[in-house]
Parts: sequence; C-alpha cells; structure tokens
Amino acid sequence: MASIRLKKEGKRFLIAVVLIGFASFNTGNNLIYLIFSLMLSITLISFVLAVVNLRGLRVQLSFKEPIYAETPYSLEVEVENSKAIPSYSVSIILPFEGQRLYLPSIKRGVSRRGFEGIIIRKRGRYRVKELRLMTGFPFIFMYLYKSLEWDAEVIVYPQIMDIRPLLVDMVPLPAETGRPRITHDGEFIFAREYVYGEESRRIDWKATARTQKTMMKVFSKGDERLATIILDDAGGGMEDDFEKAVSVCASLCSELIQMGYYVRLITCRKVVPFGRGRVHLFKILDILAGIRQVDAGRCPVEELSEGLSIAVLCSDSPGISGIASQCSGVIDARYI
Amino acid sequence: MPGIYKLFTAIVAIIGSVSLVSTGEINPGFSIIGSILLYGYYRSLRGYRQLPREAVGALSFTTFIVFLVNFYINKDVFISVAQMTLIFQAIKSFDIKEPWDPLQVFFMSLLQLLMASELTNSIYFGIIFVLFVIFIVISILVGHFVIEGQRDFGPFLRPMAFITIVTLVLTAMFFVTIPRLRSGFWGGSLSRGIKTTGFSEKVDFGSFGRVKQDETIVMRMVVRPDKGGPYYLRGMTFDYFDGMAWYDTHKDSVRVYKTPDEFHTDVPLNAERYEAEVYLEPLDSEVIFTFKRPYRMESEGFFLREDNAGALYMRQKVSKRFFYKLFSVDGFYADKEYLASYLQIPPDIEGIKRLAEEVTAGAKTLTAKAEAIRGFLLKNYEYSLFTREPPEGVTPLEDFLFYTKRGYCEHFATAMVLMLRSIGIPARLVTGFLTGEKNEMGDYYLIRQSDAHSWVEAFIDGRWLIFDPTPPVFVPHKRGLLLFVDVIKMKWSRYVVGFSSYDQVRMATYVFNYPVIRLGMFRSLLSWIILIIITLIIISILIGGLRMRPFPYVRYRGVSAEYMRFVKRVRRNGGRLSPASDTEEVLTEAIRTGRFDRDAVRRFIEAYRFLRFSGRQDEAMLREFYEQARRLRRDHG
Repeated sequence: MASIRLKKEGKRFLIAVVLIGFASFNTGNNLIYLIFSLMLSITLISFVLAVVNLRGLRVQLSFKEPIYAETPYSLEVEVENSKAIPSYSVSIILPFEGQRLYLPSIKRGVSRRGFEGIIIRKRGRYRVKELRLMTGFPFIFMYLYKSLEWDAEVIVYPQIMDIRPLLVDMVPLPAETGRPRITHDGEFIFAREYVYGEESRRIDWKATARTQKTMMKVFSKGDERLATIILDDAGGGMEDDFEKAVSVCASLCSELIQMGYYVRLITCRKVVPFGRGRVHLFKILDILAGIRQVDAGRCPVEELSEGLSIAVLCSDSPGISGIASQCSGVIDARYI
Repeated sequence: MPGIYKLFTAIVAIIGSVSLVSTGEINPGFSIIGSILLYGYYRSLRGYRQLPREAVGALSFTTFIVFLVNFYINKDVFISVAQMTLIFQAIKSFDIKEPWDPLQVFFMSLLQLLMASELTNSIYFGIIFVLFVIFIVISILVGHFVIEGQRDFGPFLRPMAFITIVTLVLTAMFFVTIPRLRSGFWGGSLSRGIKTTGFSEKVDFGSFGRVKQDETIVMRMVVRPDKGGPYYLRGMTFDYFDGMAWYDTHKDSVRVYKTPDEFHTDVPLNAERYEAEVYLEPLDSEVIFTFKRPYRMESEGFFLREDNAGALYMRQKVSKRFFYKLFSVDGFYADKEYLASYLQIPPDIEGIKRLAEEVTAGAKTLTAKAEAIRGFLLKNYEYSLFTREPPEGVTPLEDFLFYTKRGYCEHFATAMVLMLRSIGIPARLVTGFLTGEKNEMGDYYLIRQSDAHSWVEAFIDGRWLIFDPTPPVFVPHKRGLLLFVDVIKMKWSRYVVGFSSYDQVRMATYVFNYPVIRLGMFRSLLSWIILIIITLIIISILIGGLRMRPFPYVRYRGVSAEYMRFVKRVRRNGGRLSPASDTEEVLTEAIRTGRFDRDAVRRFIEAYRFLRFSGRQDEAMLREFYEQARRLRRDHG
C-alpha cells in the first residue's frame, strides 16, 4: 500500500507547473512549452523513480537487547533488494514514535546495517502490524510511503534510573537484614511463580488456586531478603508524575534484584509475587511496560508481608495511603 | 551546508540571471547590480558570514520600491519584474544559510528563465536552457541528499548522471508531444521578439551617405527543386513615385481562401512546380515574401491577404520567427487593374524621358525596349552604397542618371521604372530579397538584410515580366564553422521556436505511415529523438550487462580512492601487484619493499578492510584510516 505526501516545495512546484502550463497554452510560445516540458518531466521522474525506488524491498528489524524508554538502544536492519538496480535514500520509519532509519543506498541483494543510539521516549507495548518505508528520492518535492507487513509486539520497558542514592536510607545493610523475622530455617516463607524445570512437589496449590498461576513454595534458608514495591496506580496523579513513578518502580526492582532481594511488585490491580533473578525482573518490567493508571479511588492493597517495603507515590491523595504508612520507605516520584 | 551544494546553487543562480541579461532587453545598470551575486556566492563559498535577516528584509523592501519607480518610468511591468528578479538574486546570494535557501534560488532562476523565454527566441536561450536543465537537476538531487544529512556524494554520481540524461530526453519528448494550442485566453504572449531593420515598406530617397550593410539574417529558405539561385523573393509592389519616395496607393486587398492550414490563390497549375520552406525572422512588416508565383501556402494561425498586385500580407506583424511553406509555379502575375496608375510619372522628368527614348530608339518590341533600358543601366552605371546629397534643383534620381551614375538597387530600379513609364510601358517597383549565399551544409539559402533588393516588373504582352537593372555585386560568404553554427541556428529556429501543431501532425503521420527506418527519416526531429533513446538504451545495456565502468575512478572515491593511491605507490616502489591483488598481497608487498612503515601499513590495511567490507560506518576507524594514510603519504608522497 503506497501513499504520497507532497512537501511544501512540491506543492509550490505543482502550482508552478499548472501556471507555466497555462502560460504556454495561452501564449503558444514554444520556449515556454520547453520549460513546461522540463517541469512535467521532473514531476514524472519524481514520481516514477520514487515508486521504483521502493519496489522490491524487504526489511527485517532485529533488536539486540531489551529496549528501555529514554535509553539509547541499537538494532540491526536487514534489507533485501530484489530489483536489478540499487535503491537510494530510503528511510525506514520505526513504528514506535516515527523515528527514521536512513539508508543512503541499498544495493541489489541482502545487506545488513546496524543503527545505534536510537531512543524511544515512551514505555509501552507496541503492537506493530506494518513497517513503513519512505523515500523522497530523487528530488525534494514529495515523500512516497510504502507499508510492509511486519507483525510484531515490541515492548519498551520503563526507563531504569540510578536509584541507589535513594535506597541508602531504606535498605538495611546486609548485616542488619539477618534472617527474616517470621521464619526460621527450613520454614515456608512465601510463594513465587513457577519456573520451568522445577520440582512439582514444591507447588503451593493454595496460592496457585488463588492467583490462577502455578506458584511455588519458597523455604527459608536463612539469608532471604524480601522487598515489596508498591506502585500507586490508583489514579489522581499527573501523567508525567505517574511515568516517573513507574520508572522509579522499575529502577527499584532492578536494583534490588541485583542486590539479591526477592522482589514483589504490588499495584492496585496486579501483583507479581516474590521472585529474583533476571527472568523475574523482566516479569515485573513486562507489567510495568504496559501499566496505566486505574480510576480506582482507593487501592485494595492492605496487607504487607515481612521484609523491606517501599511505596512509590505520584499524587497528594494516593490510593495506597493506608498501606503506605506501614512501609519502610515512601518515594514521591514528583520530586525526582 | 556543503560547499558543492553552494556551488551548484551559485551556478543555477548565474544561469537564471544570464538568461535574462542575454536577451538584451535588460537595462545595463540592472545587469551590473545583478552581477553582484558573483561576490555574494564567493563569500558564501568561502564561508563568510551571511547577511542578517533584518538586512535582507530591508534590501528586499528597497528592491520593491525600486521596482515601483522603475515601472513608473518605463511603463513596462514585464521588464520591471525581470529587472527586479536580478536584484533579488543578488540579495539572495548573501543569504544562503539553510539547506532550504537554495530552493528559493532555484525557483527564482526558473522564473527568470520563463521571462527570458518571452524576451528572446535566440539559440543562446537553447544553450542556457540545456545548462539550466543539467544544473537544476543535479542541484536538486544534491539538495535532496544534503537535506537527508549526506555529505559524501560520490556514491550518487551515477544516478545523478542517469537522472539528468533521462530528464533531458523526457523534456524533449514532452516538448514534441504536448498539444500546441494558442488560446490567447489571457492576454496572449508578451514576447517582444527581435525587431530588425533593413527591409522597409517604404522606398525613400530622402537620406544620403553610406548605406550600412546589415548582416542580420532575415530568413532561411529551402527550395525544392533547387535549380541554383539567385531567386527573387517578392515582397511589395509600388505604383506611385513623387520624385523622392515610392508609395503603394492600392490599398484594397482580399482575404485569401483558407483550409485549416493552407491558403490558396487562384493560379493555373500548368507550369513546373516548386516548394519553398521559408523560416522568417521577425520583421517590422506584415509582408509575406513569395517565391516565383505561389498558388498554395501552408502555415498556421494567421489570416492572409492578397492585394491586386499579388503581394501577400499577414493580418498583423509577427514578432517571432515563423515558418511557412510555399507551393509555386514558374509564371508571372497578370493583374490588369489599375494599369493606368503604373504609368504615373512625377512632373519635370523630361530629361529622363529623352534618355529613355534615346536608349530604346532601335528596339522594335516592348520587351526589347525594356531589355535595352536594363542593358543601358547595367552597362553604364556603377553599383555603390554611397550616395551624395544632390545639388540644388536636381532630384536624387536625376543626380544618379546624369551626374554620379552611381547608386544602389533602388536607384537602378526607380530609374528603369520611370524610363519605362515615360515611353508608355506600365511598370512598377518591387521590393523584397534576392537569395544570398547558400549554406551547402544545411542545403538552404541564407538571406540577410543586406540582401534586400528592388527590381522592376513591366506589363508586357499581358504579363508582368521581371527586369533587374542592378549590376551584380560580389558578397563574401561565410565559411566552415560559421556555416555549421548557422545550421544549428536554423534547426533551433525551425524545430524548437517554430515547432507547431502542424509539425506534430506531420510527425504522427510519419510515425504511423513509415514504421520502417529509412535513410531519409534521419532528417526529422522525431527520428533524432528515437535514435538518441535507442543509443542510450544500448549504452545502458552495455554498461549494466557487461559490467562496464565508464568512469572507473568514481568507484574509488573516499576510502577506496585512498587505498588505490596507496596500491599505486607500492607498485611504483617495486611492489609486484596486479589489478587482482587482494589486501593481503598489498600488505605483504608493501612490507617487502621495505619502503613503508610496517606499523602504518598494517593499520592502514586493517582500517581499510573494516571500512570497505564490514558494511559499518565507524568514525573512529575512519579517522584511523586517514591518519595512517597521511603517515604513509608523508613517507612516500
């Protein structure tokens, strides 16, 4: 599916074509016909070469690493040109925020090109149905767009900030944490999600029934450190502030998991049970990538387990005000 | 903005301004102001600071005021606008800051070219137009890549050349195929054309001194069959002479019957037929110059009138070149109206009458009398472009006949007409042209202002017979290159300026009726275009299919070019390398020669491999490459 967008210069040029055409027909002056012919040929070449330029191109994007909002990332573009002639000055328009990847020339056959330093401003789950190619070649009067089928979901995780300065006062030093208070060696301490390959005898059937997910019992070994991050997504916060709050949450989770904590995320609608490791971090980030404020007024979160708990707020009247007072730390994202 | 883009912008601006100045219609003062753009672009290319926005605004406003004043003075809005664009181009040359600025220059140059097209139809416009096409296309292409952030145009040279050629070919194709209309819906053409002097609708003996030989070409004529010149191209006839000047007093004329493109005059067709294609430059006259006795004429778009003496006229003066084709027969005019008026003689010419009677005393027939007068003038009088002011009481004609005996064609023809009339033979003066030199390269006759001529028609035996009493004059002809240039001018005049719907119909007929290529078809414009297209296609196939590289060095611009230079240096220093040698061999050979720094060579080759074959662009690696290249050059420049 192709479409054309005339640029300002293109509109002016077309107006000039019409006027000069009129002048030539009006005067019968062959030299004006000559100029009119030049302008017609430029118009025709502009269109035909643009169409030919985008013909026979296939594009594949591959991301080398997870994408975080506001954080430069790199991707590799594989372009196949099945035409006999090269294409010039083709841009690939990324479906997220309209960034352009510019390819000065594409020779016949398959070529790969890496792009670095691309930044997506907003987190989210981008459902992509098509990829758009654009060219203004050969002249400067129009852009021709062509859509290529590309069915994919791209997840842009919240921005990960350096949150360590904030954690200094909240996170106890390893010596202070000691054993979890509510347990003793070998006792059940919490349930976490099942990871492929684990033994089925440790499944926590009650929790599984409650959460509709396969949950595993975790037994204390004496050095478990628990952290619960509570995000206030009950509405009332400004959009920018909420985005900051989400980013703070993601950063906290990332940092605490790196520090070896079992981290749980609680929002008004969703709970990600305790877990640790990179896989668990991305479970949390998946949730945070798509989270939106809910108009819940008050948040049903009431219960806190043992361990470190941090509430992340983004408004004066947080929906989790009740539980926030019980937390070991509160971060107001508006002041970050 | 890259310097190359500024340079192309400057060229396009200069072409636009030159197109206007070359018309000769622009006030020299404005041309000089316009030439300031050279300094403006010089500054721009040297990277000097451009004018601030406020200064550009103030200068533009001042230019507009100048335009108003200019228009108030010369009352010609077209010329005033043209002159204003020259100043705007000059101002803009100091204001090239953003990649978008050149676009304004391009549009202004286009406007200038458009105005120039209305002010001239010279071949120089054609040359300027072709240059404009080449540079505007390349400039816009460069502009495209500049806007996209590119700075190295090496990889795009080939598509640029291709697109420029395609644009030229397509322009030619559009030019010949766009239907030719002349609606005149809104004011018609403002074209000023070229006004030439020389031929005049009045024959006057009121001025004296040397007559300037004007070499301006008035028309070109192809004659078929050509039996060798010179030919008389008949213009006007004159019946009344007052002693100083000739007048045409019979103003009645009829409109000639016209089918779509043809005029027909009532002439029997029982004589040998001729065809004459005439390419007439704009003259300050409505006269159509005819060859022999025309019975049919093909032309476009204007009325034709015929007076009682067979002279043809357009409805109005045409200020541009135009083409007409005459179909003629050998024969003479035979109009009998107003015969009495062709016996008119001014008072007090008894001397001339006595001379005529004396000269024709021995002649029996009217034809013999006329021939006797012609022979007398040819034998006893001398052709001269210099005439003196006659003494008091002597008319210019008497001075010629009885005293100086020197004069030019008007003297000879007038003398003969009056001598004929004085002995009772109706006669009239005819003005027109005598075919001058023949351009053998183009197989056509060149007719200049200096070929303007007067001769005599005498009514004898019911026909107007032609007599030319002027002695022949030797005129040096053009040679070689000048003739070739004139052929080009002729083609330009015929196939571009004079291209018409008539030609389109002929071309279409030709294409549909003559699909087989014959030798003769190479004469038509369409054939040339087809030939060019076929040639281009063949060249493209050769270049593409056989992988030919017409400009091999272009491939090696930038990194590759530097590498190739290094390879050459290694070879010069004793390295045994062939064109097929790979980088490893180059490395080995360069080290083997012992003439290059081993470390520099290794780093240079490694950087080259990365930049050339990894498909990645790495600034650091590029810097490394050129650093090592410099090191190697320093050692073995």
